[in-house]
Amino acid sequence: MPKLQLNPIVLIVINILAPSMYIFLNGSFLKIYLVIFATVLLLAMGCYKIFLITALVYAGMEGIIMLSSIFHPIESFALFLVVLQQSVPCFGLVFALMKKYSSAELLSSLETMRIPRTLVVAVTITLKYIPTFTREFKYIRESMRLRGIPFTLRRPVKSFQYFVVPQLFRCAALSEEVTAAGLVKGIDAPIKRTSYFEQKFRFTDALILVLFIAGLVGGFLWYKK
Amino acid sequence: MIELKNVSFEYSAGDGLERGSAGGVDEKISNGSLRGLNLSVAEGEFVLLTGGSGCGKTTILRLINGLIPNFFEGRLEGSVTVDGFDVSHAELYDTAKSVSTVFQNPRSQFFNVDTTSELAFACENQGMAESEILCRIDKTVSELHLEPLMNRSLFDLSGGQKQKIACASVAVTGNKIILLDEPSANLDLRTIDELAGLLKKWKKEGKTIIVAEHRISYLWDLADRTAVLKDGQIVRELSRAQMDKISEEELHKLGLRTNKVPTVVEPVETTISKNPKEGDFDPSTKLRDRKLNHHESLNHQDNLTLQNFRYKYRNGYLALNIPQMQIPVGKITAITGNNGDGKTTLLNCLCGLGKRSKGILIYKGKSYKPRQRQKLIYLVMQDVNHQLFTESVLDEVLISQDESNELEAHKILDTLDLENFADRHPQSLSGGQKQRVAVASAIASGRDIMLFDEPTSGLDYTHMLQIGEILRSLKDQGKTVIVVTHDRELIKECCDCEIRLRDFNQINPVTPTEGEVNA
Repeated sequence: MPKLQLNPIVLIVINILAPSMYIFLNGSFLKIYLVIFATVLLLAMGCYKIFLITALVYAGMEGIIMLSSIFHPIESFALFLVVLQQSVPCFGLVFALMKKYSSAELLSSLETMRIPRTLVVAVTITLKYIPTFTREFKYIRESMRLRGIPFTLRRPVKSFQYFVVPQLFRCAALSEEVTAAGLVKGIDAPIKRTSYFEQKFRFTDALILVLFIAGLVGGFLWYKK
Repeated sequence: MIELKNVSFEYSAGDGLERGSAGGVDEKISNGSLRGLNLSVAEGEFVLLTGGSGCGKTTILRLINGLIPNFFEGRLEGSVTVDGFDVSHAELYDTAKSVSTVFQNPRSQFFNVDTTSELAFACENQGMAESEILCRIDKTVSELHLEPLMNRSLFDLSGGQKQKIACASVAVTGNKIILLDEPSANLDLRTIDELAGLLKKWKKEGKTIIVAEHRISYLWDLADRTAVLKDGQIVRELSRAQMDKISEEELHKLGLRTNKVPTVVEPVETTISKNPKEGDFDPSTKLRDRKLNHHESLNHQDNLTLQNFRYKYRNGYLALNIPQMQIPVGKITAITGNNGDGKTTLLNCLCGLGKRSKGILIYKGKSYKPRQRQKLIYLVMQDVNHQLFTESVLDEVLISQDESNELEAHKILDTLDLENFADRHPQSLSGGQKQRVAVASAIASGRDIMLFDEPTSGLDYTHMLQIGEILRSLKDQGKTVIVVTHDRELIKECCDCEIRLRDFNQINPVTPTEGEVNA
């Protein structure tokens, strides 16, 4: 069976809709509905590993919750898990989203959603900076160790200063360079950007979304009676 | 085609902090401003701009691509035209349609996180049709043989690979004018060779190319003309014929580096000793074939012995495997090699950084495990910005001392010409001054072994000599200096011997993906 190719927007929309539906819908219905829906989607997309992991986590949580009815000391913890468990299917879909699509593809679909350009640029920079930060921090930590400057909690302010000051200067320099690089490539051109990764919104995408929403509406009407 | 007429420019005050290698305060170099400069470049011409740090090379490029005055502000006089239209008053995105730029720092010239999107980026911004972009990318990728680099995270690429992507993204736009700002600063000899090849190809295609560069040797045969800048003015223009005739001494007099292309494969004079002393250090014998036991190594009081240095990445790739290597004590040793030969890994291993560093270092008859070495060795990193933590230069030296001794600290600063900056914030200094501050704290730490990671990358001739002098003075103080470098001029200038890492590092001949090397 060929794997289902989805427009990332579908997954994003599902993930935005699903958790907010707990306000309107019967909890136990939505819980089961999401589990089934996410399972079908994950399997259809061929994300077997992600499915397996989320299923195991889900089952494990279920086990602990069931156990808490016999073993009372973990009751409050189980209550916490009840809440957490509801979001496991959504997490599964998010992981699939992150694994299947590169940041550029995500960005290009965000652009088709008519999200303002500045926001898209901000998201790009953030995506780019997480690994940069990690790397810079690693260098700084290493050089502190080399210079024999300990990062201690005894003098938190001083340590923090040593840690953050070089980073800030690096950021100032890097952000200037990155901005200049973007500008000479015409980032601020006042036209609609095209995208190499243009994701078409196909029939299957619409179908999945319609099915998902129909299920939600159906559940709403059923339990309203 | 490109015309700078009587251009003067001065960066706004306070804008001087990160202006490339320039911008140091109080140092007797100009800060990249231009004074009444005239330059015209014809279509299809290849022009080399060179000169000391802060001479205004970068400023000229920024004027042509419009970053001045649109992004970097300042006082601008005169006119800059590209193809007859005034770029200083044009919008940057309009200039971007005809002028492309490759920057010096491969780390910060990308706007995207993966290679393919970076290639598409400039065209996307122009609103080009998807099919057109696709076609252009395919063409560039096959022309530059970039297939293995496609769809990869930019963070996993080595400096050389990143610079390749930067050049490719320029090629994708198909722009006629290409500016390069010290593109070789972070590249090894092999990659520089490839860069030269690409420039040659562009030249053949009739592109107009302007390169600002210190390292002129790889461009010397390519350029049609060289403009030597000093204090914001062109002090000498060399035509092709003059370039062919000029001697190395003349170039040095102009403050320029050599125009001789260093041979990538050195003749057998690896590990030459300028002043061969007692015969016990004879690296030309294959040290790795001799299994020295501990007792024997005690006889090598004059050497630093590395035993079983290994570094394995998490994925099992063995990046470093040196059964035995000797480095002379009290001398300046250059460690050379291409990217992927394990230079940086060796430095980290020497310093005892990283849990996966294995190996024993024997120094003065005592053996040191990785952790213990952190108190013995000081590393001056390539990017000294990572090493400066405090609010003043003096503090920087004081925290390095075991017991704060202000008198001593001032003495150290004095020897490095930093006494006047004692109260300054280290980050307000120029690149060269920062490097000297790092050296000052190295001296203050009182450690015997000093490592330098590419101390001269992106430095002009004068500053390279200055580093050479500092290294020599460290040697005179009895320190053992180890320099990882691919700067042949620095090696010639001050190193006593050279170790080619490849001869010692017994790793699989299979080249790893550079991501692993960089990890």
